[in-house]
Amino acid sequence: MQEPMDNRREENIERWAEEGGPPQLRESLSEIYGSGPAVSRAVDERILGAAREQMARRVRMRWMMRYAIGSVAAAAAVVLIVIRTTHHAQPAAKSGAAMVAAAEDVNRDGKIDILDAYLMARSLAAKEAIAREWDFNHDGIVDGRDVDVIALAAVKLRGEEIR
Amino acid sequence: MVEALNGGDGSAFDAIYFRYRDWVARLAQRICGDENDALDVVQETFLYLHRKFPGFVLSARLTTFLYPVVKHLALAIRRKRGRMSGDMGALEAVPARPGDRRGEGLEDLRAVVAAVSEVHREVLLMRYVDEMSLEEIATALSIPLGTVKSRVHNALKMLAEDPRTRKFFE
Repeated sequence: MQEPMDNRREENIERWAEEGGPPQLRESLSEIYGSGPAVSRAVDERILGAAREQMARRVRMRWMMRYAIGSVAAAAAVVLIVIRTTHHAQPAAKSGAAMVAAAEDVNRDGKIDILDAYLMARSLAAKEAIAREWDFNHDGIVDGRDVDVIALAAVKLRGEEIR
Repeated sequence: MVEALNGGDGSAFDAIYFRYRDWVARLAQRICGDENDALDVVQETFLYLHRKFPGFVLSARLTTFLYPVVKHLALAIRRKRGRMSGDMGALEAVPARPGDRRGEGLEDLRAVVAAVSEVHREVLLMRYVDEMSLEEIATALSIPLGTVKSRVHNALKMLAEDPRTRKFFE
């Protein structure tokens, strides 16, 4: 008689484990463990207040991040504009006389002017050693026509091509 | 509510809080065994949850998400306090309610449950006090469903075999 009872209990335990459990046990467990501390209104306010403060802080942080990102982006844009402007301005500045080439800067003073043409003309007249790089018109000889190229470059307006 | 809170509706958090507050408080007290500590756990739990927004994706019931959070925080407080030497201490500290029907064996049940191993007691209470499904328990504890089933089964068997608690199975 004992064995069938045990078998039935075992079967019930199997079923209870899958389903809701023995009602009396559930009720009693709930009675013992089913209540917690009473949460006062003050505790509610403290927790919800802290949550609101947390949210406000997060919103502030988000705005600060946006502002920082915006500022960085603006600064980057300004830097880019400056770089592009200078980058374009430099060739324009050099596209005149200075761009002709360093070779035309006969006296190596960093600019091509009438003085370079004068020095070259004087060297030619004195039949001094003539540098091959002075063949500015690429006709194979260094002569007065090359002096003209420097002179023309020296008086040329910015952006104007040398002809 | 989760969707509303993700969308920036702050009042949705209040609703979530009031819906789960008592469950969190009860669970926290069950684990850490002290009313004030339990209230600290309630606060930490909800602030932790709040920090998850926006962008929080809930793939199961909120209790399944909250259970490990509460457990972790409550155990941390308990360790910090060094008040309880073992897990049983917390359960024994659960206060007896004024309506306890001692004559009907609640004290016996309390004693037998306290003597059951921690892993078995945990699933037993999750199942029959917190009314979590077996699947939810498996998710909350990050253990296989089969393990949960066998733990619940073994816990029930232990109670059913104890002469002090056999009557709860009749």
